[in-house]
Amino acid sequence: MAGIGFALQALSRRDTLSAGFAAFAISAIISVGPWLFTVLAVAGINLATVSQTGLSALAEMRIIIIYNFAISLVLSGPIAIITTRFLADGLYARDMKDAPGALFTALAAVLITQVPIAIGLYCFVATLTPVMQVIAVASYLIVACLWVAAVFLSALKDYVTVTVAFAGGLLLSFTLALGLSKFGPEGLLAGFSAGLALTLFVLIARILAEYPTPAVQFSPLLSYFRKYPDIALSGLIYNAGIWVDKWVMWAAPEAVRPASGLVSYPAYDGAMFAAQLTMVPAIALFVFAVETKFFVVYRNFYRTIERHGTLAKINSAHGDIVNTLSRSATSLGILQITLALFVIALSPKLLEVLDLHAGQLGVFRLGVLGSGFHAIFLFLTIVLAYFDLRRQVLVAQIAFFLINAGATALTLQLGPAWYGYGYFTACVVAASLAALFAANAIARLPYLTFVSNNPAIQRRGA
Amino acid sequence: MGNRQADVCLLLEGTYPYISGGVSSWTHDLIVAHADLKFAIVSIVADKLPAKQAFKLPSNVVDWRTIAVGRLRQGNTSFRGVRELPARLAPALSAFLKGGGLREFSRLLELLSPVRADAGASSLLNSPEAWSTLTTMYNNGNRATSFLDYFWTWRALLTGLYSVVLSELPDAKVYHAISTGYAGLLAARASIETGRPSLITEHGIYTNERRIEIALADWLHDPGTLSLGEDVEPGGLKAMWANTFSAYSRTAYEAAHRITTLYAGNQDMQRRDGAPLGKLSIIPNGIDVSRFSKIERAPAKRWPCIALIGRVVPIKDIKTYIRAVRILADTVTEFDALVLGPDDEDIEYARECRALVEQLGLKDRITFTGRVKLDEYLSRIDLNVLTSVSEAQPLVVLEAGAAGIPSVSTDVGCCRELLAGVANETPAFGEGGIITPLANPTAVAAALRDMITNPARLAAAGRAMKLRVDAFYNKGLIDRRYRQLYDEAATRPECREVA
Repeated sequence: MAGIGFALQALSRRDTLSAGFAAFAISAIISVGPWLFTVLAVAGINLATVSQTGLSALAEMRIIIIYNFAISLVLSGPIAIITTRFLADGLYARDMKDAPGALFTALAAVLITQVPIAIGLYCFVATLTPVMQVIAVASYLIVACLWVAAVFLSALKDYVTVTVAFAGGLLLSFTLALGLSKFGPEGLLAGFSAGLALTLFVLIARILAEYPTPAVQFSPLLSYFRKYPDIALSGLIYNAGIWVDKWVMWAAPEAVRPASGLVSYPAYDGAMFAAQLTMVPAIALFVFAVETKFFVVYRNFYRTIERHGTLAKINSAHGDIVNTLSRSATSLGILQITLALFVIALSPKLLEVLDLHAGQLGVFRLGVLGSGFHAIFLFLTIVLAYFDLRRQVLVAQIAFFLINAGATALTLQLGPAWYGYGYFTACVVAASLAALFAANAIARLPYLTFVSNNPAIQRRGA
Repeated sequence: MGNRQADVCLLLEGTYPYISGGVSSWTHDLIVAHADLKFAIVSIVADKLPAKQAFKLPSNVVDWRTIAVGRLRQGNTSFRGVRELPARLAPALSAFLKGGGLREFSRLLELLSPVRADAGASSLLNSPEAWSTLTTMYNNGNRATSFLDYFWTWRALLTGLYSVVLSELPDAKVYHAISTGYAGLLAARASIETGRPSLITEHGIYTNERRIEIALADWLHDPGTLSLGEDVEPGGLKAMWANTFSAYSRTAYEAAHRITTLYAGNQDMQRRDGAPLGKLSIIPNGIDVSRFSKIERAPAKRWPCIALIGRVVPIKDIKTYIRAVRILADTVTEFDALVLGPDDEDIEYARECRALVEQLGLKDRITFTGRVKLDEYLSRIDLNVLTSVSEAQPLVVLEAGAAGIPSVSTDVGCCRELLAGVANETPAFGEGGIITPLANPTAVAAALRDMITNPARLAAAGRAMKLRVDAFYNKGLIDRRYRQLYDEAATRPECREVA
């Protein structure tokens, strides 16, 4: 029989809309979780330092912990975010048989890449006692593995275990650290790290209980690095963007340069960490909003399409997304503005409580204002990630990183009166850029879903 | 435009030289039979190029290219008029796809010819402007349809249409499409653009085959139903597909210089799809008569032997044959029955057939030979049986006929013509067998009994078949008729049929 005519239709039907539906459905908690933990841990140490002022051992331990958190979060970021995407796709496909393999692959990847970095940092760059070198390297690796393990628990949506494990671990960390403080900085760090190690083991045990491990395969997860280099880069750039202003500020003349060689600028870092705590209510709000209201209208949009809805119904579901997002953004903005004004008004009083000195007031206030935009920026990149707009996310994150680095370097030239403006500018620009991208994308969502962001079409080339 | 490279450009959809099968073998024979003509070939495939090639191209094929109608090249994203292009195309597209013809197709070509170098999926399917054209077309008459299905339908339709319109064509004196559909559309385009005549030869009727496929496509989400031979409920996606293929056929027919098919029954369908009567003619398939006529009949000191020659597949309705043999065996004891043909194509069906033979107690009566050399068996077969539910022009009736073997056949395709002769056959050769209804073992058994219990009638029918095949279905004769078509078309002056 001559003729293929109708086979064409069947052919094109093989490709459905496999676009980013639910691809990053779990990314909200992932993007903010580790950072939140860092802020709480460092702020906790700062507060602990308040009661134990003069204890130089604590200062040395604090700086190593900051280094561990900062560097490991940035450098293991690509592994963590690729693992996130891998698990998200597995959850969407209802096929988690590769999850245990992915856990071991991710942990192995972290160890292989991070061991040289940790050893290089603590044995060659810094000047530490041999015992401290061992503990610092071990502590670094525990923290790096924690970021990756946390991804799995978030994928399980087991926020209770994550929270309990982290909170319990942190509590144990502080307790053990203080208990071992008589052994000097080594004792403090060993105690603190032991608490984190416990957190790590609890998380791994919980994951393996959920996914009994058959044969471990490395290739499925590793293939994702080739498949989504843009996501991996995102993981690196965003985390680097969060830290880069601090790193630049460590070059300030006022920075502290101890004998260990581990430079920091507690006056700036401390003010910023405290300021960034004001993002916590907003993060809680939008994690909740994303998980509930937004996810409902989001899923409804894709379901309307997949269940053979008419264009009118699809457009109406699209309208629901637009309305929900603008309402969420509005309440987020109101919350953040109110909070920022409140905190800024009270800032002299707050500084006393936080044991910050008056010189840090400017940085603190700019940090609070910047954090408001930072929260909006985070919210919008998560929304963009939901629609699988990876390039837009990456561009906004690169802008955040570059401006945070460049503008902060400029403030360093301009003098202490300008400190803090770098971070503030970066947050404003990144939030505006993400808002522009999100507004543009969401207005054209049906076209985006069917054509320009539809992998079935972009891959086929027709 | 003088100095053309090829004499004949064959436009082939889904067949030669990639796929083996009846139409492919026919095409190969056609090229070989006209060794002195230079052929260009355009093979139309669905998606990517098939990895294997079933035929080696003869040396007189001077140009061969393949068009994948399921894949449109990207083209440029910016060129003069790119933004307005989808909106300018929309009215012409709607008019054409809703059952237009040559005039509407010419209008589309007018719009697309100037941008042939640049246009592609980027500008015609994927741009925001193309999207708004899509939604406009959806809202004009399909707004109750599943948008997801409309979207893919629209893309698949336009991908096919545009890839035909934007592809490169070989230069030739005559364009000969071996079906309508995309091949026929390409022939129409060649005619419009070069002024050279196009010919259409249809083995099966394209729109009819597509209608059956569309009706059976239960994966296409479409509340409108399409029953065989009925008109499609307007507005649905199945209707959209059926209308499109009708438009392609109508366009090809209107543009064609001559339209041929294998037998008169097909012509009715061609006329229903808009083929003008004056262009139609019948050229049946021919066989190598000398090869079969020299087969010696084995002496008749044995039981009469009936045979079904064909693959053991459902469309051949082997089960009706088996049941007919059962009924026949109740009144006639002295005969043998064969099934000649491969039984490995539909293993489950072949197993069912054997089980039926067993169940009806015919194990000693019916022999399944599997794949055999037909020539070796023809000498000892006395009556050919065909129980198929669908055929066009079954060569086996002609091959048996050339060997002097009459047939009992269901009333499918042109079997009636083959056994009884066309209306006003001159000279009239007489009855070459008996026609039976479809899926009717009792009628088949009665026909078999009438033939094998009446040696005089059997012999007369065999003689009639032998004469008829030699007179009308001799391949040499058929080749000359195609040659006449080509010669007549090739010498036609250029004529741009602007509609």
